[in-house]
Amino acid sequence: MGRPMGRPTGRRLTPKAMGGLSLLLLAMSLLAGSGMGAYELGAGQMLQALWRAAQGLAPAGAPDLVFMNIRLPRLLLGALAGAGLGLSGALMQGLFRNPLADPGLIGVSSGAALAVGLGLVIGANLWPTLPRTLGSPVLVALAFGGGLLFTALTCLLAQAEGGTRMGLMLLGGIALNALAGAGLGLMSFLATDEQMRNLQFWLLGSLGGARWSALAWVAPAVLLACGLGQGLARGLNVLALGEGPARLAGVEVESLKRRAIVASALAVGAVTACTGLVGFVGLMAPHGVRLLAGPDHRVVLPASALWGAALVVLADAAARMLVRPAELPLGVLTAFLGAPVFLFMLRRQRGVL
Amino acid sequence: MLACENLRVQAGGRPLLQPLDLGWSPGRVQVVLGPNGAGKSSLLGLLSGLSAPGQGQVTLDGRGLAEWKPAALARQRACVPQDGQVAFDFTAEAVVELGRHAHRLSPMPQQADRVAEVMAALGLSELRGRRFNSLSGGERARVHLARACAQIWEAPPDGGSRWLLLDEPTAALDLAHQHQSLRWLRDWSRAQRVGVVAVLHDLNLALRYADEALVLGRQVPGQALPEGRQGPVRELLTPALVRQVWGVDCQAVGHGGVPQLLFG
Repeated sequence: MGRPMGRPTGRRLTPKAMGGLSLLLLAMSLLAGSGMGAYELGAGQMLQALWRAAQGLAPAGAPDLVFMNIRLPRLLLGALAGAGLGLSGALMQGLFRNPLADPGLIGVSSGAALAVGLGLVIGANLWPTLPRTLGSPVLVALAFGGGLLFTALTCLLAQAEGGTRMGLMLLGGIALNALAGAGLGLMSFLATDEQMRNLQFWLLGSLGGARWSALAWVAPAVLLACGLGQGLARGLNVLALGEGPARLAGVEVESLKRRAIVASALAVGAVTACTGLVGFVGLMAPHGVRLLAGPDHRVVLPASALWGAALVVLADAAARMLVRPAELPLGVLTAFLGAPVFLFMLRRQRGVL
Repeated sequence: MLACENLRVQAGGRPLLQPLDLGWSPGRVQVVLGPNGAGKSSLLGLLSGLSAPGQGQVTLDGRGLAEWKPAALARQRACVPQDGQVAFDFTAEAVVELGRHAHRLSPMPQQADRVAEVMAALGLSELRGRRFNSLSGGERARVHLARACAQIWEAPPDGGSRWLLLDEPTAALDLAHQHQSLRWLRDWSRAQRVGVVAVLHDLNLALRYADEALVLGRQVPGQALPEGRQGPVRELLTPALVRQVWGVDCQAVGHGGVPQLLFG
């Protein structure tokens, strides 16, 4: 922002080249992720399983069952989760005009998590089936509502005369994250032993809950958010000038902000309801995309979704491989990757915060 | 036609003594002059529609600004703010293209042509691929000017008037670019029938390039200072008025047919 970054006229990838590269990256990560795990699968076995499923035949043998019922839904959930988080990060960064805005840092994720925590513990007394179906429509709706509420609160807190202030946003996010943490702590205190295990496992972030039934709810939500987000791309570009100048250039700023918040909360809510807290994907993916292709949101939004998808699929494969046959919590792994990136970016922005 | 009716302008938190009833016509360069705190930037904010008046209203082509759709208003009125920060690492060309947002329904190739045309007209073609945040302050100011011009580059089909509102457009520019930019703005406003309203501090630049001036005075209790004096700049800006409004002594000299003020 305030000072020159990189070379003054460095080459950037064209939108087409960036799209191709992003798709290639996702395809390679899916290929890599599909074979790895406690149960190793060869390419032939996976193709056979897909072929049999395409013909409508029941899975035959362990490789088929592992691939169709465990590995494939897990890969797809990972891709969707990463896409939702990457997109949401890019949207929030455009909205706050700052590359440091991450759904995990500004309260979107923790709002969704608190709502799901309330659902898992208090809601479970009302609907006993709830905790066994992570990614069920009720939890997705709860997470969406919680994410929406916390994002709106962060926006209100960050609002100062003449636009949003980054420092206020980050501090507001800290306060809201602390509030959500306290709420989730209270839920752990109130929870039964079984609820406690559900809650803790889910909070650390994991794709272990991947089932076809969960995908049926997450996929439409994430894809809808991507569609909504793409419609906001040009407006977010103009918003880089500031809220006042954007309004003078013909952007309906309030409506743009509202839509960006809703799309972001929709994606993060749906993802969080299934996978728990997976942080920093929304920070890393858009950052990488901007470095290669520049800041145009027409490219940044879809490419961030693709990079986020590839990132989560790869991180999940690593989480399964590193401590085989057990697995590391995904959220722990992404935090170890993302926190240093965040600190590095913070250091580069120290002049303007 | 851009006009304000019974408009109450706040200057430094206090209202000006009298509400303003003024009109501006397109095709001319009109400057807003006055000491610090006289309400020049506040007036510009009200004229642009960015701030809502507490009393009175601003009309463009006879309609109150609040009745305009944002995109339609943006195609007839563009502004260059004093402080033009751009978040993210856009190129100069991309920043100018942001000014085309209200025209986004036009075909894409035409948009690119317009951006190139505006940048060439303002002598910015060499900066096209440069990163905006690596430019000097003066270059950034000129890119923002190009962005605003790109926003109102075409005359609206219904014959509505176009307006360019500038807050101290010469503040970041070197001597050569101050004259170059103002000369270009004067020629463009005449050729294209665009109304330019600019807050300016340099009275001699105003005398050289502006057609009309509005002088806002600081509010001095107990002193009957006529506020919001509007008229042809060369008739209005006399040493007597300068002494009354700014409290500075000067004398007028003719220089190549253009009156200029010598201070001190």
